[in-house]
Amino acid sequence: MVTQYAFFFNAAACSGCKACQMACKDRNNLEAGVLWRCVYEVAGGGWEKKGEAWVPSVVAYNISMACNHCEKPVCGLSCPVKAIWKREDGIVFVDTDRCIGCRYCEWACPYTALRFNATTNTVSKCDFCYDAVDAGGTPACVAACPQRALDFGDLAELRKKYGETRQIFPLPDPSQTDPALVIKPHRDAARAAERAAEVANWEEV
Amino acid sequence: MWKEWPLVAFTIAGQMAVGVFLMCGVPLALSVVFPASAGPPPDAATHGLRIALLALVLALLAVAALLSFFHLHHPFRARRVLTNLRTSWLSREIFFELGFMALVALGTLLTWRRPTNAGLAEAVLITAGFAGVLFLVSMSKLYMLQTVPSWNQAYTPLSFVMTALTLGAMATALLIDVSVGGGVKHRYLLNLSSFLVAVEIVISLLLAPGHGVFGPRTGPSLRPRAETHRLLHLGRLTLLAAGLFFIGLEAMARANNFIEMDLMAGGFRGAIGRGASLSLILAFVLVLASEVAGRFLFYGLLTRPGR
Repeated sequence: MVTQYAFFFNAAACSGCKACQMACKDRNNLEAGVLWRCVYEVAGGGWEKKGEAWVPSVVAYNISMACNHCEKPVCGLSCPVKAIWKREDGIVFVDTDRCIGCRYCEWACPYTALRFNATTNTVSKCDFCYDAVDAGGTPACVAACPQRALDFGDLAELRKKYGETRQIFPLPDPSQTDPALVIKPHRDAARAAERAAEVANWEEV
Repeated sequence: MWKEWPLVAFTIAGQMAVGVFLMCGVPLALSVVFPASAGPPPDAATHGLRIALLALVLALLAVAALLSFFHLHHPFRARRVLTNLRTSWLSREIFFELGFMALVALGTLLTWRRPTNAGLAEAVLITAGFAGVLFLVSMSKLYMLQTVPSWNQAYTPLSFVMTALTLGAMATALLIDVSVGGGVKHRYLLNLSSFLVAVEIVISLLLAPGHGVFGPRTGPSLRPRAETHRLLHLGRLTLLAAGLFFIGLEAMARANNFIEMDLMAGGFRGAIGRGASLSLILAFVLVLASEVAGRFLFYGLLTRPGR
C-alpha cells in the first residue's frame, strides 16, 4: 500500500514545453491565471574571459513544479480552519467548501503550490489527480510529458529508482516541509547560484 | 501589497489596543503587586479616565476584528477559525484577540460598576494584560514562518512591539489630554513616546535593510521578487522623524511649563475641548502614518505568484 505518493522530476530531460502545465489546466478546467503545475525557466550567467577570449558561460534549465504533497505540509499546519488535510496515501487536499479564503497557506508554502481561484474564492492546488490514480491511472501532467521527465509513485520506490535528491536551485530548503519529491538535477543546476541565476518567466508562473 | 490593507489596519489597530492597555494597565498591575505605591484611591476623574482608556482599547479591538473580515473571501465561514489551535498561529492569534477583548470588556464592566470587591476587576484586567501580550506574540509568530526568510527575523516581533508601545503611549497621552486636560501631570507619557519613537527610528535604520527592503534576496526562492516600494522605507523614517519633532516640542513645552504660550496648542484648545495640543495630534497622526507605511512595506516583502 502506498504510504506517501510523490512526483519525480527529471530536470535534465525537461525541454520546457509546458505540456504538463497545459494538461493539468485542461483536466482541472482551471481559469486563466491559475496554475496547479507550472514550469519555471531558470536562467543566468553571461560572458566569461578565458585567456584572451570571451566565452559564454550561462546556465539554463526548467523546473516543472506542482504541490509536492509534503510529509510536513506547512499549508495544512497553518490553515486556521483545517481545510487542508492529508490522505492516508500522502495526497494533500484542499477542502474548498471549508476554506475561508484567508490565503495564509499561500504565504506558508515555499513552493507556491497554492493558488487563489477567483471563481471559487478559495485557494486551490494540485490534487494529484487522485480520482485517476485511485482508478489505477496516471496524473495528467505525468501522462502528458513527451520527454518522460515526470513520473509518480510511492516516495520510497521513487527514491530507490531515482535517488534521494529533492532540491535544486532555486527550490527552498527541503527540511522546511519534507517534500515528497525526487529530482534528477540538470547539469547546470550546480552552477546556478554562482551564476546568479533567476527565474526568467515570472509573467508565466 | 496594497490589497493587504485589511491586514495593515487589523495589525496596527490590534497592536495599538495592546499598547494602550499596557500603558494604563502596567501602573495598575504595579499598584497591586506593590501596594505601597498605590497612593490615594482614584478620584472620579481618574475613574472616568480609566473607563475611557478601556473603552478605547475595546473600540480598537472591535475595529480590528471587523476589518480583519475584509481580507477573507468567505467571511461567513470564519466561525470555524478557532478549529486549528493545535498547529495554526492564525487560529491562536484570533483566540488571544477574542480572549483579550472579552477580558477587557469584563474588566471594564467590573471597573465601571465599582464593585465592592475591586480586586476582582484588577485580577481580570491583569489577566487581560497577559492575554494582550499573548495576542502580540501570536501575531508575531504568525508571520515568522520558516518558509518566509524575509519575515522570519527579529525585526518582525520588534516592529510589532514597537508599534504597540509607540502608538499605545501616544494614544494614551492624547486621550488623557482630551478627557482630563493636558499639563505636566502625565508628561512622562510624552517623554516615553519621544524615547519610543527614537528607538523605532534606530531599529528601522539598523534592521529594516536586512529585512529584505534593500539588497539581494534572503535565499533561493520560487517567489517573485518583492514588489515593495522602497520609498515607503524612506517615507516611514521621515514621518517618524517629523513625529519625533512634534512630540519633542510638546514634551519640552510642558517641561518648561509654558504650554499656554504654545501658539500651535492655543489654536486647537477651544475646538478639542480639554486641551489636546495640535503638536501632539500632529505627532500622533505622523507616527500612525509611518506605521501604516511600514506595514505596507512589510506585506510588500512577500509576493504571491499568480493572482
